[in-house]
Order: sequence, then structure tokens, then C-alpha cells
Amino acid sequence: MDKAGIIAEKIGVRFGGFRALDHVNLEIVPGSLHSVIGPNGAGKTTLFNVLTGRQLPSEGYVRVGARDVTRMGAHRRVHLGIARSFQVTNIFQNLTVAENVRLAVQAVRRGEPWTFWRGVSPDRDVGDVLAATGLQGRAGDRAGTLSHGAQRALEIAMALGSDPRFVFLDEPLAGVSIDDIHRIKTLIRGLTPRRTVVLIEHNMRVVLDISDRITVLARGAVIAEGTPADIRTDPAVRTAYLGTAI
Amino acid sequence: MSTFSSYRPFPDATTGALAVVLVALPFVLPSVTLASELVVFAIGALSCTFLLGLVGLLSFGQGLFFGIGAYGSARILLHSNTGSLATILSAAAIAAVAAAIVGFLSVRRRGIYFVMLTLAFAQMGYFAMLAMKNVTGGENGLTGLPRPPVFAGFGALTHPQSVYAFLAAICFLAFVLTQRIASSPFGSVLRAIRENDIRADALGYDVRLFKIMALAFGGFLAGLAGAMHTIFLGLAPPNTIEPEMSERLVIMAIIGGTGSPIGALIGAGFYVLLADFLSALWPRWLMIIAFLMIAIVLFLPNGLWGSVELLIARWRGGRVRVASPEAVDG
Repeated sequence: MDKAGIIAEKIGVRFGGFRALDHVNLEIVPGSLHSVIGPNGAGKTTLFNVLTGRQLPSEGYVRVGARDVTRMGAHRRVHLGIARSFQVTNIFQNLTVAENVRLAVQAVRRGEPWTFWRGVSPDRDVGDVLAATGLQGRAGDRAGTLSHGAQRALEIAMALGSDPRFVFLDEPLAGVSIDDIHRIKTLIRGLTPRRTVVLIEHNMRVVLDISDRITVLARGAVIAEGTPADIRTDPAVRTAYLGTAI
Repeated sequence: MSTFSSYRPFPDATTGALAVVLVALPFVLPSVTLASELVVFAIGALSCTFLLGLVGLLSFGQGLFFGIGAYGSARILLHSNTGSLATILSAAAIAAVAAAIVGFLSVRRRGIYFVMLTLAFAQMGYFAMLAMKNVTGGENGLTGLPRPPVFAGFGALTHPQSVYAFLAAICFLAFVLTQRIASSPFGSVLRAIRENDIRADALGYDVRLFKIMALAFGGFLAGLAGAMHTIFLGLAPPNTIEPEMSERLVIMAIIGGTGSPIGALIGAGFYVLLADFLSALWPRWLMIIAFLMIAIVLFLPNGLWGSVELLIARWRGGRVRVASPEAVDG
């Protein structure tokens, strides 16, 4: 089971008459850093939602190893080791930074979420996750008061709280200042090979630098897949997406 | 002090203050029956305060569970000779199960649709009561109920004072239990769901199941209050299950403020005492309650207790944290 990857087969998602995804195949190799890139509206986040359980696909299957999880809800997939962050910061604004992370850690503690007869007990993993994401100094602050960059770090921290095997990060660098980009990039790269990382990111320099494998989506379909070197030279990618960027 | 707004240690200052208030009430108020009525409605309002303040669920159906508690305890009193305590707890348990079933169906929708579903169930309950005349007594309600001792022949409830003592003790325990839940790991999940249910789901919490369990506890509290009402009155009148009861409990919760369990006591106290005072003066007294409700929602959005808390925080010079009322959501 630990060696299992995530396999998506012939994924199709329709919103009314609009095809957000069409016949998408994807195999995520355990321990790798797999990026999904493509122009705006290509269906990247929809694909994420299908893989993490927020969106039921109209067609196709999602498997973790041999297990079909196509119809399994997001909260149950977390218990299979699949966690995610959000493109638009999606944290508990009115709770403290530590409580945000503690809720993520608590979610996978057996029986703990249903415990109502005693207080909340401190958890060492919370401190570890805060330290790993550079948030230890802000533990007691209200999450809504953090800077944008720190909120993006908290997004990642919450994804890591459940100690997942698969981490889905949706544009973790969006709006992050240049000073923080390197730190978050190093953090993401350091998650592998212990964890598998699936990354949506628009910062091409970072994607080409840290990815093991890249899938390029355009208009809901896969137009290329390969190593960063392959993608850099792929003519279809150049015309559809990269233009003159490289 | 706002146990629902954010995590607080348990027990806190309000736990002690509650005990003092409950002991003092029968001596301060003009009559001990008024004090009994107050503690009954404090628990009823607490069911709304808990759901709205901690979980962010606005239920217009708590009157249904109040009614199930009232009629359920009346049926138990008519058919068996169990003590008053066991009667109240059994009726509250029945209400909790009913609330879990209603919850199971209602939590499939969020926001205003959830609110509408709870309202529809409350309406349905009222007409079911009218239809099942041989069980509920129809428009006459169930009358001529005994008031057995508290437990196994001990604790006779013959004087209004002993009835108050019994009801106040249950009221205290219900508040303590609610505070305990609010400051537990389970309570922290409910708070997370109120803040952001999509993120709670993404973190691995089964949001629907947590909401159903929270609604069951809310139903337990409302049923407890309904059963206490039956013991207190010695009858189960139809107005215990009217949709107006649901409204009244929500109004009490909002007047008091939903940031803390104590808001329910303040809101119920305010409503019950004002109703007692105004109804003697003017038969259309409910209009004044409506005006007050409008004024509170407009000018004191945190309710009476929430405003007191703000004043205390300001007086202490501490950082004022406004816990504005949560968006209505299901």
C-alpha cells in the first residue's frame, strides 16, 4: 500500500455544456514531485478537485493503488493519506495559527475528534509542523492577521498536519514575495521522497527547477507530459502555453 | 468568557457565576414559579445558542424537540411510575434521536435551505400533534399529570421551592455539560465547521456527521427543557410544540447573544421577566418584544451578554475582540 501511487483514468468533468476536463489520464509515482501546469482555465484545479474528492467526475476513475476512490468524499481521502492546500487561501481566519494546524493534526487522531469529556490536549506534531513551515513565532496569532506570504505557508502547514503520503499544493507561491519564494520552494522540494507532491504552479522557473515530472493541460486535455527537459523543448507546449517565456 | 467564539479553559468564571445566579433567583424574583419558568427556557434557548454560536447552524426547529420533550415526558408520566429525573432524561433522549433524524435529512442542504428545512419540520410536528389526538390530546394537550419524586421515591416535588431546586440543578448540569463540550476536541471541530466547513472537510472531518451529532445534542437540550416544562406545569399544552415556540427560543438566544452559553440564560431571563411584566400591562406586549429584538439586532449585534463582555474587555484595557455573529449556515 505504501508504494501505491495515484492513477486517474479517462477523467471527464462537464459543467453543463462546458467540458472542464476531457479524457485526462494521469499517473502519480510515489515519492515524486509531479507538477501540473497549463494556461488559466485549463482545468488544473478541477483535476485537483477530482483527485482529492471535492469534485465527482462525470467520467473516469481515480485509484489509489488498486483501490477505486472515484466516489470517495474529500474527508475520507484524508484518512488514506491525501491532503491538499487551496489556491485561494482557505484557513480558519478567526482561530490562532496553532489552532489551525492543531485541527489538521487532530483530524487523523483516532477517536480524538469525537472526544467531548475533556479538554484539548497539546500535540507535539503541531510544533513540528509549525517549525517546518517557519510559523513557530506566530503560533498564538490570529490566522487572519498574518501577511499573505505567511498565510500561504499556513496553507501548506495545514496540508502537512495529517502527515499525508500525498500532498496536493494548488499554487502555493501565488502572491508570495520574492524573499519567501526560495524558502517555500525548498520546503516543497524537501517533502519528497518521503511524501509524494502534486503541484499546480505558474512560476515556471520554480516548476522546471524542482519537478520530477510535468503534465501540461490545455482546454481540459493533456497536451504533453514528461521531465522538465522534455517539456522545455516540446513544440506543442511552446505554442499552447509557454509562448516565448523560455 | 466567550466559550463558543473561541477556545476557553473549562470551567471558567461564568460557571461559578451561573451557580450563584441560580441560587439567588428565587429570592430575587417576585415568585419562585417565575424562577422555574426562567431556568426551563434558559435550557431551551441554550439549544439555539449552542447550535448558532458554536456550530453556526440556525435551527428554526428547536420548538419541535421542545414539544417532543414536553409530550414525551407527559406520556411517560401517564403510563409508568418512574421518577421525575428518569422521565426527563428519557424524554430528552427521545428528542435527541428525533433531532438526529431531522438532522440527517436537513444537513444535506446548507445556508438558508437548511433553515427552511428545520422550519418545515417544526410545522410538520405541530400538525402531527393535532392529527394524533389520541396520543397528544389534540388542542387540549395532556393534563392531569402526576409529579413523582425525583428518583426512587426520594426528593418529593410537592412545593414550588423543591421543583425549582430540582429544575435549577438540571439547568446547571446542562450548562456545565455544554461548556465542557465547547472546550473539548469535539467542540473544536464544531467551531472549525462554523468558521469554514469546506476547509474542515478538506482536513478530514466528516462535516455532515459532526453537524448531525451537534443537532442531536441541540435536540437533547431542547427536549430536556420541554420535559422540565411538563414537570413544572403538570401538563403538556399544545403551545409547547407550536412553531411560535421555535421562534421564541431563537429570539431568546439572539437577545442574549450566541457567543457564550451564558447568553442563553440572559436572553431567556430577559424575555421571561419582560413578558411577565409587560403582559400585565398590555395584551399586545409581544409587539414590544419585537421592537426590542429589532433594536438589539441593529445596535447590539453580539446580544446583551456579548455587549457586556465587550464592556468588561474594554474596562480591563485588554484587546477588544469582536466576535460578530456568524453567517447563517447549515
